[in-house]
Amino acid sequence: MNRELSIFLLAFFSISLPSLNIFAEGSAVFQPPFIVASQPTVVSVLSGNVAGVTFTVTVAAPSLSTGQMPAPSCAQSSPVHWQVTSELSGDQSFMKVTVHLTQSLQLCDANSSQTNCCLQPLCVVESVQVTACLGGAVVAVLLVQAEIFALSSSNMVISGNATVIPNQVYQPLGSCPCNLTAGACDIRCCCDQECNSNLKLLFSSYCYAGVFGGNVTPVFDQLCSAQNASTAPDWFPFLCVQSSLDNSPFLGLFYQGAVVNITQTPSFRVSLLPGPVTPNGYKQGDPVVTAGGQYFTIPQQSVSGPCLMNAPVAYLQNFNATCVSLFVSCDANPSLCIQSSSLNLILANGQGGTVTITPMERLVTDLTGFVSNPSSVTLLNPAQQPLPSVASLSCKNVSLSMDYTFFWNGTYLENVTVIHTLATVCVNLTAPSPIWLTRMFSAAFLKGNPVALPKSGNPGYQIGKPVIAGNLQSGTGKINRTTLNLWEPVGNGLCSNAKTTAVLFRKDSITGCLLQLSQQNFTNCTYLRDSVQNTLSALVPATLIAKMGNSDSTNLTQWLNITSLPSNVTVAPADDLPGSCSAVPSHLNIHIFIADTGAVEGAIQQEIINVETGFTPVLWQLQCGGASIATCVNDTILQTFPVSSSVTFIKIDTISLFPKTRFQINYTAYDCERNNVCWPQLAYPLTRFYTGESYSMSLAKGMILTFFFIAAAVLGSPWCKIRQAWNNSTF
Amino acid sequence: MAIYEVYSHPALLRYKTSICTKATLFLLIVLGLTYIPPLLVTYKSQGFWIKLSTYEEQPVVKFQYQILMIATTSINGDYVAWSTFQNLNNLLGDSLRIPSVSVMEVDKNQDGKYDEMTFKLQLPLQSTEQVYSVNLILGFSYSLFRMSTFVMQSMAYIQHSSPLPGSLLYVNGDLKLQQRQPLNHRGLDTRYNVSVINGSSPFASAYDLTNIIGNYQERNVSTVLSWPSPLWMTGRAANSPFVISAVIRYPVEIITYPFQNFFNLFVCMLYATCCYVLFKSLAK
Repeated sequence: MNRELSIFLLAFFSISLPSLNIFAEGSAVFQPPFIVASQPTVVSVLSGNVAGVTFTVTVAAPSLSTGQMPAPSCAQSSPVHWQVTSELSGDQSFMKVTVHLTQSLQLCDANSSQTNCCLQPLCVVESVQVTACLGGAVVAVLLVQAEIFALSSSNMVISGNATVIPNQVYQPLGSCPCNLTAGACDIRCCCDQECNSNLKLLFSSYCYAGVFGGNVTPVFDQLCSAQNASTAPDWFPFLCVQSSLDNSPFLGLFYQGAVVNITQTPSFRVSLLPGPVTPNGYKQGDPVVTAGGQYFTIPQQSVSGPCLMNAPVAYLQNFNATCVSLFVSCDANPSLCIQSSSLNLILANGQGGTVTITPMERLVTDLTGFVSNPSSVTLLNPAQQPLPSVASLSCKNVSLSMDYTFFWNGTYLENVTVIHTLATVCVNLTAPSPIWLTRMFSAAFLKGNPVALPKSGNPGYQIGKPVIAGNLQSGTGKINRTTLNLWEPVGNGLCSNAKTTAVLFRKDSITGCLLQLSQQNFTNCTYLRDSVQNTLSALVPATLIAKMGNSDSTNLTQWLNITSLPSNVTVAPADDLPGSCSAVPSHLNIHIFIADTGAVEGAIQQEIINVETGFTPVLWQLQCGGASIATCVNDTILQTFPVSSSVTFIKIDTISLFPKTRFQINYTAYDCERNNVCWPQLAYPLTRFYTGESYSMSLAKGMILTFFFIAAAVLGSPWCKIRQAWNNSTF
Repeated sequence: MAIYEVYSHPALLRYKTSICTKATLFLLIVLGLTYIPPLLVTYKSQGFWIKLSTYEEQPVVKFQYQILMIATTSINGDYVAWSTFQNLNNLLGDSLRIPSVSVMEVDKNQDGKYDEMTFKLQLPLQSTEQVYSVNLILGFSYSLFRMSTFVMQSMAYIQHSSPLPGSLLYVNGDLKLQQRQPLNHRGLDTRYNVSVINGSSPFASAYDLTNIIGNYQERNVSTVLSWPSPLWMTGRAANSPFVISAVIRYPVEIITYPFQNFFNLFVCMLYATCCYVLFKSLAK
């Protein structure tokens, strides 16, 4: 800034040039002969006969009387701060002359005794005469008019300490916001105290006025001219202020000196991920780690359904994953063709040791359930090796499922096995639609004897666990365990290929399947009824039901008999018209009555107290109205009829065994759920119903109110009069 | 010189007039001006009649085990459907596909009212079928007791369609009360205690979704399933069913009802009078 300032100054200053003497003595001449210098170095060129030329530097002052510069001479004068160096050109026709200031341009410190420094900001103001001499005779003269300012920037002490913000009550901080440079004049900043009057003259008509100059007068709301019609408040224009902007409500406001610490974190960050740690004892949910310190991974479903191939496995957390992927070549998707030999990974067992996975291979004979379109693939017999090389077929060993079993004990793994299901599949490459392959992955953590039948709770049933049923073994008195079943329809939902699934505790369910019947089936309704009933009865292959989730299979008292409700519908043969059968028991109802029977460590235990099964009779009729009259004539036309079974869990409230009377139902004075002005909420703020404040707080406030009430009563008129009467009567 | 009171007596001035005079008129005007302008000014400034009030209640919601499910199984528009209504199942013919449904209603805070329901429907599909869209209607009974006893049968409607064949539709939302008019403050209200779907009707029009939803939306008080966007999972494994998994919560509702200004005023005045009479007689 300072150099720019100097040039600026020189442009403004009117410099009285000394009259120049042209020396004709020599044949050399300076080009340029006169230089105005604002920098410590100036360069001129001496041209002509320059061989053997020497230079003399004098600081010259014009004569006070004549204003003329003194005559140049080759005699050495007193030492000066200037130094001349010269450089002869190659052909010796000219010489480059450099005049350099040897004095330091640093501004002197106030209390130091340095001499090689500037006492004032305007450091050097002098005329320097450089005389070129040849054999003691003056050949040429260069006049340098120097006005050089001290360097203001480099002598500032840069301190790492934060600026101390003074108390704003006494010392305004923002008095001159444009004063950016400490110890130097900032151009156009007229409030800068470092600018002397000479400098201010230069830019006095260009002063910063607004924010940077410190003259801030924002428009305030109350000003009549500040409001426009759309956003004006409703008191406008009756109560606005006519004033100049200088008379502002912001006058007297000052910055309190509070400093805001910037605590904003970066918007986008990549956090450092901790790698897997080889554990010293696994806990539930810890990732299982390989001996190499990596996560042990099994493909699992995530995000929106598809499988992630490198998903870590958590300790003691079982899962089943089905992964659907396009059937492509092994090169395109190597994970389809995993070899069993590559599955024997070594895992950290949690005790500092290792455990090796034991792979077991299994070959499947049926691709149903694995391939979307079984007709376009061929399963090869394992003995059929080598693979046939038919052009339209592409054969490969495909890895279909991996079922991991982790045998654990406490905090460590004892053994890990994997059942690897493989098939040699040949795909018809000319198949019209792409073939989707379903692969299954599972992990199961087992402890102890894996063949023991799992419990469904201890002691009460857990929600979502299978309901345990059983049959009494004649002779031994032992109970064979089984489950209550429901249909699990697959494919087109026909009963012929429906599977069954276990009844789960507390899950009310309804499932069913479809029977295909023709007109011939309706000829013998009794047979139809019996066969349907037998089909449904097969879902309940038990006579006993376990009361609790851990019922002992040798203790008959922990089991209940299943009650079969008789169907009380009497069927008259006359009801059975051609093409229809009445009262077909097509719906099996299983009612399971449950009750809360105590708690273990705060967890409510539920047990089964009764099971009833029954059938709902339905009229089945061939639909041959409208255009489908053939159905009632032709035996080969099949119609579907639904057969269903449902499970309902009915909770018996053990507390109020007797049903509520009409009075109890209608009289809601004490039932705050049904009545907004019930008696228990008479003193609502003091009851537990009130949740607006903490109970202790509301109690304290209530007591304060009571105190005031009693005080008012004691000091009020009846007590006053009583006290007066008392006083009068005693004294 | 000091002044002292010698004697004092109260003076009573009586100004009398007959009824039909200017003085009577003036008196009436003054009397009117004393009471009416403050009333008008107060009323026009803010108003002082409460017109609508609210109360908070968790409804007693019970799943009615009424289900109507329609799933599109090809891009050509083939569909399978199932309902808990026998008449509709008979109408469906070959499109009938019985799913496996399991339902559990949970009372989380043990206050005697169910707080949420988990619903799972597994629809078996053939290998050539894929599910592209689902319509599902679930029937609930919905009761409120705190002010008026309000009983209705309502529904939750779930619909989603996607160009991608799905494996799972996951819905997790609230069964919210939708009030178009305030409820009564007392009494029994069974206007809408009718089934959303008339299951006893053998006619196809009773199961037309436009009729069901149209009739339901006619109701001034209804429920709506408020849910964020459903999750539509793709990648159904071979031979595995299409699954609709829903969690429907029964939240506490803010119910509006017309505030009974006169009833309240009347009750307050009655109580005040009774108390006054009682204390007066006790004092005597």
